[in-house]
Order: sequence, then C-alpha cells, then structure tokens
Amino acid sequence: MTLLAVLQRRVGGPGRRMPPVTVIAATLILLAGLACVVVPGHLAPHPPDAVAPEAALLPPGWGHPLGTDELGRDLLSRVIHGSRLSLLVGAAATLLALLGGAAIGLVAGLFGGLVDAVLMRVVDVMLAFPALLLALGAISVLGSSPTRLAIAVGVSNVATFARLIRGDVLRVRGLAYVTAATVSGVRPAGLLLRYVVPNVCGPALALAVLGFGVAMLESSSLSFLGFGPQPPVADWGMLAAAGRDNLADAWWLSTFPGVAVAVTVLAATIIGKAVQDRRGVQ
Amino acid sequence: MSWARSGDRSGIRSTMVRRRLLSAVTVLIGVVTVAFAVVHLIPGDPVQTMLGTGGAFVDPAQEAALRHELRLDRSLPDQYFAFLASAARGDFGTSFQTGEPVTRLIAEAAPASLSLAGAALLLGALIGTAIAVLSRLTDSRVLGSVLAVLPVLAMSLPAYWVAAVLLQFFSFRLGLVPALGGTGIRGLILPALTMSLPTAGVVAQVLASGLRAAEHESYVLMARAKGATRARVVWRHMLRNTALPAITLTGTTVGSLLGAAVVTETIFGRPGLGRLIITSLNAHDYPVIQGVAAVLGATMILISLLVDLLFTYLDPRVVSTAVWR
Amino acid sequence: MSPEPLLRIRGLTVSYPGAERAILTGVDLDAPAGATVAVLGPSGAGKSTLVVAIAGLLPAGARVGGEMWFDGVALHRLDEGARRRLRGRHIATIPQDPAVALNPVLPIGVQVAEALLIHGMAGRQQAARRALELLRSAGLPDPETVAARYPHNLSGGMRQRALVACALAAEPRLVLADEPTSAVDAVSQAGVLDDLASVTTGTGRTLILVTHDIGLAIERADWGVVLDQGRTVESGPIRRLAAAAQHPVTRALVAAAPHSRTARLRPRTDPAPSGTAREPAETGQLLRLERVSVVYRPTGRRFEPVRAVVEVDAHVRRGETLGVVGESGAGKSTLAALALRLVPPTAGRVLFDDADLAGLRGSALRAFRRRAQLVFQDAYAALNPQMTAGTAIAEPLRALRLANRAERAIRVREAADLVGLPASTLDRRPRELSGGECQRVVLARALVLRPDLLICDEPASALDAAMQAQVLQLLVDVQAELDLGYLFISHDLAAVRQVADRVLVLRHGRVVEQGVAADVLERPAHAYTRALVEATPGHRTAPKLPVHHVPTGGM
Repeated sequence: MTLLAVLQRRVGGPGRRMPPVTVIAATLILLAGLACVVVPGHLAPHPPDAVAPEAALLPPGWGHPLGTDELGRDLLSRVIHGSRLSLLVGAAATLLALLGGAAIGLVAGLFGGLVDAVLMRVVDVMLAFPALLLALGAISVLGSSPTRLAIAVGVSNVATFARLIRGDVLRVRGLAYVTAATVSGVRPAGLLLRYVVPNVCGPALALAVLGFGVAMLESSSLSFLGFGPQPPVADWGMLAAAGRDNLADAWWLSTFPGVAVAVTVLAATIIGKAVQDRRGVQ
Repeated sequence: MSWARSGDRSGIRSTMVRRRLLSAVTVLIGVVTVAFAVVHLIPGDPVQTMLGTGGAFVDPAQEAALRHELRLDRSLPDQYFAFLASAARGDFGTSFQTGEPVTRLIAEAAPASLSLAGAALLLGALIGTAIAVLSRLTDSRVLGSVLAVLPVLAMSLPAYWVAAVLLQFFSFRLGLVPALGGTGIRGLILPALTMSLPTAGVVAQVLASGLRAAEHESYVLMARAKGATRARVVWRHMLRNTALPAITLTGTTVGSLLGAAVVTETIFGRPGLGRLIITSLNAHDYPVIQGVAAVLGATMILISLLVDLLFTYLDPRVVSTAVWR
Repeated sequence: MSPEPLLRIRGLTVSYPGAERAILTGVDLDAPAGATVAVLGPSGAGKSTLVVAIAGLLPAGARVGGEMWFDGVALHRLDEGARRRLRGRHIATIPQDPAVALNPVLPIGVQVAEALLIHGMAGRQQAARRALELLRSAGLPDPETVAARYPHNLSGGMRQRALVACALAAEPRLVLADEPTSAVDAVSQAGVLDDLASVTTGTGRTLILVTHDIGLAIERADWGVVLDQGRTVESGPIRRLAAAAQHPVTRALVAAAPHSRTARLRPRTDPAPSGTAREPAETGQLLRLERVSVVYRPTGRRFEPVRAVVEVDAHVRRGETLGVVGESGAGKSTLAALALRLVPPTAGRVLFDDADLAGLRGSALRAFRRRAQLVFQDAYAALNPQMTAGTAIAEPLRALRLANRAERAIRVREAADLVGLPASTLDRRPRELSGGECQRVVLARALVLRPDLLICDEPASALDAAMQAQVLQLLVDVQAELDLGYLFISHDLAAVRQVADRVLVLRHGRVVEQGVAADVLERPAHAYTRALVEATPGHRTAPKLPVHHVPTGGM
C-alpha cells in the first residue's frame, strides 16, 4: 500500500468536505504555480543565475524576499524558475502513471481470470518495493535527466494506479446498471465505452490529482538525494539539498524550496479531495 | 441460505490462510526476480561499470573474478536459479566496496532502521489517533476545519524539509538534541518525528473518516439512545469499530515508511538500510543493492501477510462475511 | 376526564438550516400511560424524525419548535445533559434495522447491560446477571449463550429481540419503536411483535409504534396518529381511525394495507373487466425451466459452493403472471438471472420459446435479448448515472440496432407515454428523478423493445405504499395491452396476490408449492406457505374494513 492508495481512500458515509476556503486557496496556489511554469521570467525579480558575491547569504528582506544563497543568487527567483522543472516532472510522471495504470487496470478488471491474476501478481511485486526505492532503482537503470526522472517516478506509481483503477472497474462491473445493459443487449465494447469507462473516469481523475502531489513529493525527494537532473538546472528538491550545508547559519535556503513543494502538494491533495467530494466518489 | 452457515469455520479460515500464503510466496519469488534483474537491466556491462575505470586498463584476472562472483560467466537461466538458491539461503554475495558479506551488512544496518520505523509508527499512531478523536469531539467549526486539513498537511510535507526545519529549531536554535549522528533515544527523536508525520496523516484520515461514517451508524444512535455520553460513544462504540481497518492500513504503510527512511537517514546521518542502499547505489555496489532490495521487498510482503492474517483472527466478522458474500 | 397523558406533543416542528422544507411542520400527539400508540404515515411523512425528536437525538443544527411534555416535564426546555439522563432510563428507543443497530464488535450481553451501567443502576456483575433475565424475557430461550455472542452470530429475529432487551434494561416508562420489524423476515415478524407486546403491555409501559402498515397497527395499538408531510392529519382510537378514515392519506394507508389487497388487480384499460378471461392453455409456454439447478462455485470471498436453486420446474405463458415468493436467500433472484441467461444452469435446461438458452449465440442471442427484459428491484441503481432518462430508454434500441435516430426518439416517447413518464423527465439524469420516476424509466427501457417476457425482480419493494400501488397497477395495465408474460418475484405476498395468476413458493432453492395464485395463497397446502401467509401483518385479525379506491393516475 502506498501513500496514494491511502490518500484516495474514503471510508463510506457522508464525509466532512474540504472546507471551501481551502479549496479556493488551493486553486489559487496551483494557478500561481502554473504562471511560474509558463512565464517565470516575468515573475522573478532577478535572473536565477545572477551571481552577486557582495550579497551572499542575505536573510529574507526587502530586496530579496526569500534571501540569497552563498553566491548571492536571489532565492525567490531560483524557486520561481525551478517550478518549471518540478511541476512539469510531477505532471509528466502522473500522466505516465495514470495511462499505464489505466491500461493495466482496465485490462485486468475487464478480462478477469488468468489475465487479471497474472497482471495483479506483477502489480503486487511492484507494490512490494517502496515507491521511492523503485524510482531510485529506475533512475540508476535509466540515468538522470528531467525526462528520465519523470519516467522513473511515473513507473514507480503505475502499480498503485493499476490496483485502484482495477478495483473501480470491478466495482462498476458489478453494479445493477451494467447487468441492465447486458439484458438490453449491449455488447462488451459498448459496456466498456458507455458504462464502465465513464463511471471510472471520475474516481480516476481525483486519483490523478492526488497522484500529482505524491509524484511531486517523490521526484523532489529524488532530486534532494542527488538522483535528479544535474546542475545547472535546479528544481526545488535540489535547491533544498543545496541549502543543507548552511542549515545552521542560513535557514531560509532549504526551508523555502521545501515550502514550495509542501504548498503545491497540499494544494493538489485538497483539490483531489474536493474532486472526490463533487463526483461523489466512494 | 441458512444451511450455508453450517460451514466449518476453522476450515474456511485455513483455506483463506493457505490462499494468502500461496500468493505471498508467488510475490516473494517475483521480488527476488526483480532483484536479480537489477544487474541485467543496467545499461552496459555491469562488470565494466563496477570496475568503473571508464575504458582504462582493467586487470583481466580481477574482471574474470568479478564475472565469476556475479555468475555472469554462466547461462542466464543458470544464473537465475543459482541466485534464487543462494537468496533462499540468505546469501547475496559480498560487497564490492568493503568485501564484507552482504547479509552481514544488512544485519548490521537493519536494527537502526527498524527501531526508527517502529518509533515513527508508534508516534504516528498516537498523533493520528489524537487528531481523529479530537476532530470528532470538538464542536468548534474552526477547530474542525483545521483538524480536517491537518492530516492532509502531514502527508504533504516532504521529509527532507521537515527534517531541515526540525534540525534548525531543536538542534541549532535550542540545542536540545544533537544535529547529526546522535545515538540512543535522544538521537532517535527528530528522525522518528520526521517519519511519523505521514503515518500520523494516514491514521488520522482513516480513523477520522471511519469515525465520521460511524456517526451515522444505527448502533451509535442506539448507544446514544441508551443515554451514553459523547465520550463513551466515541471511545467505546465508534473507536472500537474503526480501529481495526485503521490498524490494517497503518500496517500496510510501513512500505512508505521504509522509503521515507532513505531520506531521513541521509539527512540525519544515521546508519540504516536507507543509507546503505544510497551509498551502494552511488558506488554501483550491485550485490548490496540486490540484497537490500530483496530483503525490503520480503519484509513488506511479510508485514502485509501478517496484517491480513491478524485481521482474520481479530475481527469476529471476517469469516462470516466471507461466507455470506 | 382523561388523565394527563405520559407524553404530550403540541405543534412540534423540526427543520434544518439550508434545507428546502421543514421535516416536521406541526405534530400533535398524546400517548396515555400504559397505551400503545401507532404513528402511521407514508414514507417521508416524518415518522422517524418524530421518534428521534422525542428521544432528543436530533443532529446538531436541527431547529426544534413546539412543546413536548413527558410526565409533566417540559422536554423542550431541558438541556442536552438532562435529556441524556432521560434517554435509556425513562425514554427508550428501538431502532429500525436490527442488523446494524447492534455494535458488531461488542458481545450482546455487554450491550444489553450498558444502559444499567450508564445510569448507575447496577454494578458490573449485577448488570450482567440482569442482562440474562432481560434476554430471556425478550423471548431468547438460551440467554447465557446469546449474551456471549456477537451480533453477526444471531439471526434477524434474535437480533431484534436483543435490541428489545437493550432498550428495556433500565425499565423505561416510554418505549419508541421505529418500524421494529421492517427488516425482519415475514415469519419471525409476528413473533418479535408478540414478544415486544408482552414486555410492554400489562407492565404499564407506554409504547409508541411507528409503522406504515395500518393492519399491524390495528393488531397492536390502541391509538393511532397519522402523519403526512410533517403534520398530524388525523388521530384517534385506531379501530375507529381505520374504519372511518376521514383524511385521504389515512384512506390510502387503509387501501395499501396488505389485508385489503387481496384481489388481483384488473387492467384499467380492459374494456370488459369480467368475462374476457384469457385462456392460458391456448397459448404456448414462453419460458420453461426443466429441473434447473444452480450451484455457485466458491470464489475469492466465498469458500463453499452455494446451491442457490435446486431442481426447479416452472413455466410462464404469454399474457400470464407467475409469482415467485420466498424469503430472502430462497433463490428468487437466481431464478431471474437464469431466465435472462445471466447465469448458466449447473443442471437442467432453460427454454425460451422452446429454444435452449444455453445454445443461443450471436443474432439468436440478440433476438432473445429483445424479447426478454428485466425490471429491477432498485431502479436507481439500475440506471447509469451518466445517462439521461431518454438515453437510457433508447439504449436497448441502440445496442440491438433496431432503429435509426429518428425512430428511436419516437419509440422512446411511446414507451414513456405507456408508463406515464412526462416528456420533461427524459433529459434528466437518475439523481434528478424521484424513486417512482426511476422505476418508470426502468420499465420504459424494458418495454421499448416490445418484449414478450418481463422478469420483475421485486419491482416495487423499494417504493412507499402509494407509489407501490401505482407501479403494480401499471404493470397489470401494460400486461393487458401488450399481452406480456411476467415472472414476478417478490417477498411481499400482498403484491403477488394483486398481480399473479399462478404462484411458485421457493425455500432454500427448492419449489415448496406451485399452483393457481388464489388456491395457494388462500388454502396453502404446505406448512411453510402457511407460515408465510399467516405472518402477513393483519392476517390474524383480518378486520372488516371498507375498501377505498386509491387514485392510481399519473404522478
């Protein structure tokens, strides 16, 4: 069981919905993140690589809202520019996991029998490794680059998506309206496209949003451990790692990139939960 | 279907156990196979990569010895079965870095990781339960909203960030606990706290939604109709019903916990399986990677097996629902 | 001059902020000490809310108005603490569904003793001893064993008795019972009510019995209070209330009571209601089951084979209804699945128009799908939430490629008209439709193919009495118009009486008795059928009541 599997869980009953204020705030945060991805240059006060030795290790203040690093580079600008890598890797990884998981989950759930048994054993094996470790392994097999990082993180989450989507397919397949459609003479392809897929889409969408947060956490952890893309490209995980050496005297260096990750993940999770609320996912 | 009830319960239970064991063994073989495949999936010749000299002179004798050690001089099926056989004996070869047997390296690193994971699990369960129960007992809207978001927040914080913040505050500012490499209980506090947060989030969320669902259960209404106080209803009736699934789910998050240990052990400079796998990945120390991967995978399978079996024995309903559904 | 009643309610209102309308809008009720008062009304009238309000268990945020006096104490002025001390001690509640009203992880004995411990009326050991006495007096013969068991080990009837014991532990003066037998099978129902009566009447206890079944109320209660849309519309001595009902809602309740539904419904469209009786023998058998058995193999969750249906012989002719009755788990739904080729028989043959269903493939199978259709028990669940009513009704035509887009639209409208579904509902999704409308959509979807055989799996059991009457009438009308054969499955004997020509009684998958409906239900030959018939509420007293005709027009 992975974090994602737990996140998407809702144990029956009318749930306490995510407070509306938090949903609005989360939407704004993700929009701001999107803006940083699209036009970082317009938002950042300084170029991310502008070295200024005289302004090294300045604490957060007027000129540098988040302070500067040991080379005098503006941390806010570096965080804004780092968003592109962090968010895109997270999104790409999620998309990969969703597509792979949906393919496996649909095939296993629809065909059942031996196909299901074999696919689910493979999924079990993948789930037996902690996702972070699986991604670490994949990275060392693939080598490191933003694309490969996304692939590694995506692959490490395919099993969870597959398991959960298969569960949804089985649930929907057992519902009365699918029996009704069979009695109406609907053929297997029609059952899949008109009955199963539309009703599995809602939960899968919520799952993808939640999965984005998990992918962000995982990819930034890998970057932090030094398995991410190599410098000079710096994502949030790398920025946080770079600040490690100055933990004692420049707290802001590793704190703020971490805050960026945490806030994004939190926003994604809140929105994912809100999507579940709206679509009445169980 | 009343005659279906006549079924021998212990017989049903043993069938369940047998099936569960069978699937666990299948998955275990899969896990060991994946560990075996690691060496073969790495692009290029593993021996060249390991000797890592980038095309410079390589001692042929050393290379041949390595090939033999990795059994790369044999046919693939031969290699595979030999690996399975030695893995079954707990033998994963010796480390390239230190020359020590992999099994001993793992045995040395495991206790630190296990005590860390154990402490984190305990702490997380306590924090999570407290949040969930509080969110059920409070009448305040504001506190209720905060408690609804708190578990989600706990699961959203990157471990490296939590560790950094804790270190800055407790070690550098207050000087309460050693920053790095601390031993004993004092050294365990911050890493365990770091790792406990996701678990706390999981427990809080599962327990809270379980309690929330229980609120609308008829048996809760019945308890209230008997005149039970709010606290009695929550503790005696709701929590008991919700605890079991929460325990199961918590047990199955141990995997994420072991993943988080990689980050936590690195940043706190603690010895452990996480550190071991990072150093061996960086050094391309394949036997160690294989060994740790196999052991971690096997541990997760064992834990989920134990949790499932425990559930079968703890919940009076499991067997009967198995019959009725 | 009658003495002050134990419970007096005046102008009780309950509403929730943000809700469209109030749940209770003005309830008056007097419950004299020692009497049994039946609270009657159609579903949605506010009966359960009334019980919850008397007990003081309304959810936080509910707005309550009006007055409630209990033994001279103004309940409406008490704070939560004081209400709590009354609950279980003086005012006890028996909830609706015994399957979920007991805590699944606590032994029965602990749950029975709980009220005594809460109110400090006994020590732990004393309470445990008292629990055994309570279980025995609630009609459980072996209290020592039962007390140590968990709820899932008990049958529905035993659970309901355990709940009675829980409620009566502290010897309360007022007992609120909310449809106490609605979830218990017909046979145990009467026994549970007998036991409930024996621990309430004659002990000076006041019982408020909520039910939608006026027959049951006549049998058990002294007074009746009829609710409709959150208001008291009529009240008085129960027999007078039933015999001389003033309000239309009361009259509808009387008409819907099982004991007044004894005759087969006649189609409203039939020009000559008598004299044109069909000759069933003339038409061939549409559906025939020949010594059919079904054994479900063990699956991941179920570890023993289940013999759902055992050597059943049955047939349905065109234009006739075969009613299938039996308790839940008797194999009724498997029979439906067999008839629709959703489940293969393990042994025996299922024939449709003399063709073995097992051999149907391709176009022959699709031809069968066109001619045999299913009407579901839970109509809402049988509709794809993503499809509008119109799309759902058109779905069989589309799937079987029987009509082009324009023809489909016409046939959907025809089918909708046939079942009385307004055109405005066709572009709505299931969650925007009422229960009765959903049932009509499902029926229209089945009829749009102009089938010959309709399998009705408890088609009205999820609806309230008035709605149920409408759907049954509709089925009878449609049958006459289209000359359909019905396989009508129900546990509701009254419903079967109203629509079936012949009846088949199933028990544990075997046919117990089979024959002409009137014969089987009036003069049951088998002891089991007799038990089923006798367990129908109102059967024992069978009071002579004027039969009112319920308007069964459109909704």
